[in-house]
Amino acid sequence: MLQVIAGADKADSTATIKAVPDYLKDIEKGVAGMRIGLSPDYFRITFPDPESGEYIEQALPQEMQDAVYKAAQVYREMGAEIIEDVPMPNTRFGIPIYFVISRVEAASNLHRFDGVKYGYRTKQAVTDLKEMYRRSRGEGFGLQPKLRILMGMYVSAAQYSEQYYQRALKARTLMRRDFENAFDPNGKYKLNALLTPTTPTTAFGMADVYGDSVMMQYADQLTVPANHAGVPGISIPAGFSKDGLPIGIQLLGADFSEASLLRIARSYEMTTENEEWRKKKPAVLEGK
Amino acid sequence: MQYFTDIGLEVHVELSTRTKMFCGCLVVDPTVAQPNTAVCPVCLGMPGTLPVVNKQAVAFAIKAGLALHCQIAERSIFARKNYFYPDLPKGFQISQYELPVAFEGSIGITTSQGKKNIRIRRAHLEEDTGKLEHCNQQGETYSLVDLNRAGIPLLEIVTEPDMHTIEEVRAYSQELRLLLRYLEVTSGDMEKGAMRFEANVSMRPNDNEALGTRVEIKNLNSIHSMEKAIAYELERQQKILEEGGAILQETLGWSETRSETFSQRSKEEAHDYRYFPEPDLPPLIVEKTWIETIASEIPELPEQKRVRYKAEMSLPAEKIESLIQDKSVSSYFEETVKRSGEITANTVANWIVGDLFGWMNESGCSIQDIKVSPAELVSLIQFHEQRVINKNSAKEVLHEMLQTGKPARQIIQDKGLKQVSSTDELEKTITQILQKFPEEVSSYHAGKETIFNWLFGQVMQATRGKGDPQIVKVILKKMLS
Repeated sequence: MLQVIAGADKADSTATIKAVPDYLKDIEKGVAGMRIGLSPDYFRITFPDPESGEYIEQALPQEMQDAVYKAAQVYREMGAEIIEDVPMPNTRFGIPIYFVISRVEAASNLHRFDGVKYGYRTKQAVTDLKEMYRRSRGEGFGLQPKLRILMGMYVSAAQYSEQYYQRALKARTLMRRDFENAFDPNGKYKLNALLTPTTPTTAFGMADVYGDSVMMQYADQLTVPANHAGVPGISIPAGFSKDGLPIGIQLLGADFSEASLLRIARSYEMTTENEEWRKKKPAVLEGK
Repeated sequence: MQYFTDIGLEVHVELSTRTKMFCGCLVVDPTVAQPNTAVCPVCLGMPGTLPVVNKQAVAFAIKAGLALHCQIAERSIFARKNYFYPDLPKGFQISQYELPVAFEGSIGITTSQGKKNIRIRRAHLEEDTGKLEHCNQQGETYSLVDLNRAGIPLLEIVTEPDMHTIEEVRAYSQELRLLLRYLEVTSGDMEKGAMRFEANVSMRPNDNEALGTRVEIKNLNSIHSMEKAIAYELERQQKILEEGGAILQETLGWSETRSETFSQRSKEEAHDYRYFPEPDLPPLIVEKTWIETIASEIPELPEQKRVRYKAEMSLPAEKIESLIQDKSVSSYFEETVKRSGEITANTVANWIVGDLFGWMNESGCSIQDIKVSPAELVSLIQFHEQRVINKNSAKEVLHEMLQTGKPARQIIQDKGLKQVSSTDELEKTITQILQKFPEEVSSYHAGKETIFNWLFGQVMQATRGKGDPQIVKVILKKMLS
């Protein structure tokens, strides 16, 4: 599918015009000689304490870490070189940056639902345009979009933009720099890929609700860095926790390194093909 | 006490591209097209659509920027200007904010006080909004939205507050319009809204003090309206300041019907547009070589023409101005001069500014439509200069040429307008006249010299205007003495 959607799109100016390589060409060639990194910054999450507002650092559950180390061992055995302790110090800004930038964009994107051309228009009689806007948007939007609009409007307001939106953009540049350093072919680490957990925890249980725990709000902490930095990533299954919930591992690469990420992922998949956990089916499919 | 005035202008110029700024919709004449016929999902702001930059609009912006002596940003950023209004379907306008495509330029103007430069702060690209039509039918009021205009590329050109009189505002606006029309980046047609103005006006006791509190007058649709609005505003501010009051920082509108400005928004109610970089568009990168190509395509500009016409043709300033106001007129003039041989440029200019302009006014034709080519005009002027026809006949012939497109030679022949310059023929006519009016001849001899002109007129009449006046005069004088 990537082969089909990748490349220039005359209706999307953000799509690259770079030629699309044949992603399948070298996919079975293995990882011998490749440099795969591990970063301590992906084995912990940082979040503000809801009570005190202080930042708290918390290690990822052991079985999440183990899944990554186990995969690293698999790669080592296949001839890859594992580079430990790659610093990705700005990873902790991922969620705050996301909370700011995505809210600003969401608020702006949702402007068009103003009851004039798009979206719900209030059924109540109104006396002027402002009232029509207020009522239409007030009645039409649900709680989540409202929260996003309010936060987006707040952090991009003239008097706060410098502290929030502009700062988020700067922090995003710092995150990008972490990746540039890690993948720089002339740098210290020269990584082909960074191997990390996909999420801080296993998948959530069936009945869990968003917002139940800090861990849940920070579930994206390890995946948003790729979006902020604009680098490719791939997430692949890597087994189950002792509670039977799936664990994913993630490979992140330099700009346009999709082909080698696919190749590295494919190697893991083939090597672990016969492991017991691969036979397991999702609980919903087994009717449990 | 007369306060010192500072005026800065923001001019919105509709670029005459074939298609809109961020989509492939055709740009249509708003006064002709049916509402909402030149629209697509992108300019209607449908959810999920993405903008794509119009390369021609960027080229026009660069061209205008270069002609305004601006620096061209090799990297500029599109930004969203967020606000709610029914003519803005997305709820934000894609514009440029921190990094405009052109910045720090200037334009020279001439007023009764001489020449001066007006600094250009920036020129940036953006998309136009739609148009509202407010209706009132039997007491029921409602508004209709036409989005044909939504997405048409605009270049917003912002000056520093360098203008201090209404004359300077007029000179700047006219010179800017002339320049942009020479570049062929806009029609400049104010009646169709292709140029719209906003004026920032403030006053201070004298020019050593800091700038006064400014008001912004929005939605001025012509240079004329802007002049009236500024004049009104200066009077209002002067009065407030004289009475010891303070000017409120606010946004004003201009009512054409009441001929006064009115408050639209106070400083407190000012919009916070929450500008931020448009995430759907990458930075706009323009390569140096492209800028150079565009620079090489800039034609001779009005100011260069003024200088050249003066230096090469010694034309008077007023005539130069008439000739350069329309690029097609000046190229017609230049084509004519190129073929004119012995005839001076000033003579050619006289025919164009006089008779040709007269005809264009009378018939409503533009110079492109007229039926007389530069070569034909030259031949007509030559017939006159070589005394084949006299001035009045020449005017008559030109009129006929303009009407029918026939060559001068043919018309002269058909109408028998050839000037009579044969001495024999003229002597014969003059003898007849002198015999016809013996009393007048006597009184001329008695010293009443003014009678000469009367006699001259009689002779010309007798030749039905075809006599060569110079020769007639010489012979008449000789025969009278």
